Amino acid sequence: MLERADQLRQRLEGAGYICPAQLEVTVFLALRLEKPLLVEGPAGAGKTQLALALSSALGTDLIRLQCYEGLDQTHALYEWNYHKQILRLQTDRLNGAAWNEVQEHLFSPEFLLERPLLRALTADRQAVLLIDEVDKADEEFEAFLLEFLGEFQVTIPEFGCVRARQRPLVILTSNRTRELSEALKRRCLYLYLDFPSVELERKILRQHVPDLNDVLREHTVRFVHAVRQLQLRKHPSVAEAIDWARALAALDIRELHDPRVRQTLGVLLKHDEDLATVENRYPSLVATAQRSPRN
Amino acid sequence: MEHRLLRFFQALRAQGLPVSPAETIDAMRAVAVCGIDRPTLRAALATCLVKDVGDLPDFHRLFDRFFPLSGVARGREKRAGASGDGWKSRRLSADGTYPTRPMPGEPRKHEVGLTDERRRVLSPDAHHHDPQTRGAEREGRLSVSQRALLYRPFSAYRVEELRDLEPELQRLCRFLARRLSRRFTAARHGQMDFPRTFRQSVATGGIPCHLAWRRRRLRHTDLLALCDLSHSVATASYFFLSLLATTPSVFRRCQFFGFVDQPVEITFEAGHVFPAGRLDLSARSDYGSVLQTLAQWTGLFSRSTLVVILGDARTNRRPPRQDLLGQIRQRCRAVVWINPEPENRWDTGDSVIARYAPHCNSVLHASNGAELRSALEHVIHQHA
Repeated sequence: MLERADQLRQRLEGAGYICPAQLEVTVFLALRLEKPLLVEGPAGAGKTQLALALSSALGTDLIRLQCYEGLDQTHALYEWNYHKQILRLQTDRLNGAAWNEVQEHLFSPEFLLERPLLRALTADRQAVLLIDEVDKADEEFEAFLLEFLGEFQVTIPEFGCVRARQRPLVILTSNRTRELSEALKRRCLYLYLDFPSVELERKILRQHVPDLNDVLREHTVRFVHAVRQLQLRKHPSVAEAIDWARALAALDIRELHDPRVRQTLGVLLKHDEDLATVENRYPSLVATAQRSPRN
Repeated sequence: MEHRLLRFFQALRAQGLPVSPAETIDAMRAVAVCGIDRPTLRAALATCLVKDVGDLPDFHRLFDRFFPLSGVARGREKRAGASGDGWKSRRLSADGTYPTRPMPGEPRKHEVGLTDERRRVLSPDAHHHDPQTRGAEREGRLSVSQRALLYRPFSAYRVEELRDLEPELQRLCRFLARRLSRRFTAARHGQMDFPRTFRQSVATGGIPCHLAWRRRRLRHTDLLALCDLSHSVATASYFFLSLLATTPSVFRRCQFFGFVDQPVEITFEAGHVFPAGRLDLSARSDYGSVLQTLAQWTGLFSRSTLVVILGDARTNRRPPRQDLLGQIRQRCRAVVWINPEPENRWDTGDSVIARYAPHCNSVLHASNGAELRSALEHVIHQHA
């Protein structure tokens, strides 16, 4: 059981996730107050990664539910394995079993397909439940989720009530493609995870791409930040920055004004209008990146 | 401390943040768990009370006012802040407050300061912030000035005022857009989705106990908005474009056209209209020639296009060419006309709305922001 928030920060860094300032306070509160955590932010800022790192830091399992439009209880909570039940019924009929015997085992755990939410309830230890991209699900699912998050118990008619032995740590992520309902937001603690600062991104690159030399790493970070200031269709995310740094390291590039760097921009930007914009401004961006920092 | 926290919550509510009692209880528990070290306190309160990133600047501003730094701590934090991460790395200004990030909604015009620092209440309508009356309204989170903006008729605005009100309008539109984008389908009626029904019936032994309805996909509607930019309707068009600019998720593609006597494709950004070609604002409206030019651009209209025309249908006695509107309607999903003039003035003088009405799916009236918003809701619900 964690006593202080900074212990959590150390554990997250041990799991490979460099947190922005005070993020550990939010996560610590989610753990202690037993409330779900809603993480919003631009795509690629590290929301899903946070959940992965948390499960590793806390030494528990990660249960993941990916949301999409049309997701309903059957795919999220549980489903009866109807086909297997039919087979069992037919076999029993051949064997001449009476209804009393049949009904005992027809609705037993053997035939219950546990989907992520139910698995989170029945886990032995406190698990990390990641409900990814909850803004892609529709409103009916949100209403169902609200009920689930309020009670952490579910009633299966044939079984009875299944209560959580240990409340899981629930993390909901959203890309802000639509507004979530007020009731859901009220139920959760909120965290906005934006693109990292220069300092933080430097640490992240040092962690993930250790064989990049220091000067180039500094210039890379500044370049990516300068690109993020432009008017683009999709700004480069942290993951793309890491991939780009890896590409530079793999090609054994030492400096930013190496002509091969221009050809690697496709790793950073994924739309051709964005590539065109950056190509037009390439010399000034490189100059900005290589200017000595003014603190 | 507790007393100060309670007043902090009240100040946040007065500023328009929806802080519910449940959230204040969470905040108190969080403070009990985390302690009152200033950065930790800020993070803990933010996570419990602020549920939208657009409200963060207001939160930080009020936090700095209620929990100010003492002189020594200010110096320490200034040094720490310069090398910190994330939102803390912005430089502190001289009096120890964080400059707000340039968000679309700029600081509100009125600021409420409560007593501890003996700040004057700067705006007279701070007294009207009665939580009960505000909570009772549907737009419970709007401030007085925003509601004034919403209900004031278009004809009462002068064009220069709009420039000043632009940040307030942006914020309002962001709020209204939330309500719009959530009107997804009820899907309890309409056309049946046979494949899904049969698939679901497998679970019930081949008998379709649960019917599946075809969900209308909002995303596959393209919007084509035609806005009359002539003097009489300019304000309404401005509101309309601001509102539409904040709803990218509702329609798959949005195309805006402005016209006076000729249609020109426009983009609307940051409160300004950017025409792609020559647009003569001083010309006299001519709906007939606009329709003629549009009808020639056949690539614009498809089965998934929803055409919304915002105008007063006053064509200066030139031929209205309603037959062309009929042709357009046949090619598109729906044509909706929104008329900002008062209804008793329709068909008077050179207004020919009655000639266009048979060729439109609906003709709606909108004389202020609120009516425009409900017209748009109706359009999305019915036709999108």
